Amino acid sequence: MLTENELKRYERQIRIFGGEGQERLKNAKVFIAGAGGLGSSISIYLAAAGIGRIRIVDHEKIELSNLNRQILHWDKDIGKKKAASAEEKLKKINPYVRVEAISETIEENNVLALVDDFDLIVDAMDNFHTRYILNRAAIAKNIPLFHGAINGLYGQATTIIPGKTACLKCIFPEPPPSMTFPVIGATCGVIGCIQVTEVIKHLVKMGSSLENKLLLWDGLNTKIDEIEIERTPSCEDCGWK
Amino acid sequence: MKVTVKPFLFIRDALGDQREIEVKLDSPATISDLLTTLRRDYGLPDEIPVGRGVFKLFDGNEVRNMVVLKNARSIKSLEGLETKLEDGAEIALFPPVVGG
Ligand SMILES: [Zn+2]
Repeated sequence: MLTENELKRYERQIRIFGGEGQERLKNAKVFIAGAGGLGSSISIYLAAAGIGRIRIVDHEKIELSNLNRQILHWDKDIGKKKAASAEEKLKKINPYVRVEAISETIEENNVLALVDDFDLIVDAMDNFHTRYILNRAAIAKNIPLFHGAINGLYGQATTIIPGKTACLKCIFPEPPPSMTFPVIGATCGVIGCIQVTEVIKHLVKMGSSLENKLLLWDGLNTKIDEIEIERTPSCEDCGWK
Repeated sequence: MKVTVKPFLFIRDALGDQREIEVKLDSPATISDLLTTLRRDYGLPDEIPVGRGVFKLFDGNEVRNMVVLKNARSIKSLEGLETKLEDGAEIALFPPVVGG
């Protein structure tokens, strides 16, 4: 049940999906992989929206050069763990959310334990090695994966429903080369907010989503495009499903 | 045969900001033939300046930073550059984005 205070806090969005939608958000358990640029905008908006339980995982420490985009972390936090900084800020943004921040590296051997009992995974990673680990975990647990990635003024996002849509490995059978990517914070904001919108719609069961579509954000020319994608029957990650 | 090429992001900019390009090819043709034609006749460059950096699409004949889909499927899960094309095929070209 929502308290009087919660009904007031979420009034403007309850007008969209009703009290029962808000209850769904409150009962949801969301796993966020990464507390960097994407992880900042994703976790801030999910916390503000009233997701009941958020687990956010990142093993890094905050550096000065993170601060142009990682808005969860402030000047005073340089040198601290991103997980601790994330937990402090998210609890302050919304005390109704149960936040657990974990300072660990997501690996093949701990991912299933980390995401255990969570309803969905939001990808806020900066490399495809870890994204593939999340992809396999989502398929194994049969939970959705909300993918996002950014570079410079460009970004992409898609929503992966195991057994139904193309997975990350269907679209990118081989990892694109990793690089130190340039970026403005606003690109993380655009893509992170698209991922959050996808998560909220999924939870409150509204609208249509980026299933089998890769959304591309072209910030340089202010354009959004969609690319149709299809499952690969022989996909090494989801082909069996 | 005729195939439709859909370039995205700065690859589209490099091809004159066209959403779709119809390309005529002699049959039989492969993805490799299509890319050769795009580079020779349509001005698809080997590298594209992006911000203060450069995005390399090709290294010689090897495709570098470009995802190629044929009819919504990655050519890497098909026959790569030797993937055969048929009349009406749709080819999407876009740069992968990896950061977070
Ligand atoms: Zn797959």
